[in-house]
Amino acid sequence: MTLYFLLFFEFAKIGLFSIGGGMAAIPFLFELVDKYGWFTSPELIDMIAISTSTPGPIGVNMATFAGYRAAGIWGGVFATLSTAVPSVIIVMLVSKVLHSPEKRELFYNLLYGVRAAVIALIFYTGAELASLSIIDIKTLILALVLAFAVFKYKRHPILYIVAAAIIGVVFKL
Amino acid sequence: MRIIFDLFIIFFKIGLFTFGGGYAMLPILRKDIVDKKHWCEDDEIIDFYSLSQVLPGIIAINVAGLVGYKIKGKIGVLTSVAGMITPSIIVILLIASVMTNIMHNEYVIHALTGVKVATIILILETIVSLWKKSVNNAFGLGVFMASLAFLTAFSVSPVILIVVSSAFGFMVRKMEKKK
Repeated sequence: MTLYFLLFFEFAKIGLFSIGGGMAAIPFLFELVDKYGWFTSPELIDMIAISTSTPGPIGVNMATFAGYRAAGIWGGVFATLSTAVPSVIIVMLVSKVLHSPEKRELFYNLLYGVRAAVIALIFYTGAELASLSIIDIKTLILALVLAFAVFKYKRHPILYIVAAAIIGVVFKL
Repeated sequence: MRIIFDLFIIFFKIGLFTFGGGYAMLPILRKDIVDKKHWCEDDEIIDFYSLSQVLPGIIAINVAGLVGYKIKGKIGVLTSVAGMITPSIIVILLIASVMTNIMHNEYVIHALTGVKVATIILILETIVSLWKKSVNNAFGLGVFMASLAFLTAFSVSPVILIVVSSAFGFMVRKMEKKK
């Protein structure tokens, strides 16, 4: 029981304070190593590596992983739900204001300059990913072929993701 | 009921096919929520991202929640967030408990290399589609170039970038009004 209370407390805290993306949660996770000994530092580094290359948001994956190490399967489920709780509450509060007609103008003005900044952020993220993943002639050719297909046919993104995975296996990328 | 079911399935798909969270989920989100269901506009999705970036919490969960609220209020928030986190719980628990060596499997590594390349191209396509709507005047272009410069040169935190660009935009809007 105490363990579940601790899990809730720690992972709700991580959910609340990891502002700006999953990587912000990492220092909090390292804190858990010394505090409770649920996992060791090398284990945590391994967990982070796996969380970045499996499906789903990195922060969510890390919460499931860390919760599992601390208290088994239900620990994983419980830690994940705990990390989501602050988001759910805050989103409900913010949405109420966001969709009220009298605040519309204010939000529009506040977000007016941000849209272009967000496009820059997306661009920067994409460029960073590209420098890590388009590393040789094979990945470059795949990128060019995919770019042609994506811009010409505009099919569902999942189709391209699955196709790229199959191509990866077939051509040993 | 039908909407709740669709909402859960869409975010479940996003959770399952997004590698890296945050911006990597944007292409699927736009395709399903904007193009197919017409539940949101492109502008709104961008605004949800801006807010999610500065609000406490995991960005992907915040975006899912904001979209969910727009479509079905508080129930929508719970549904979309549940859909978003379920694939993570299943996949990570499988890897942590029984498939502990899967990440070292040769085929998995090759598949993931392909997936990363696809993610980049899909993000690129998303930027091109959003460009016209979000960078549509000199001010927008200025903010884009300045943001990119600060990100590349100083690795400025996204939170600070959004707060500063919000302040600039707010002032510009106020000045436009006075004219």
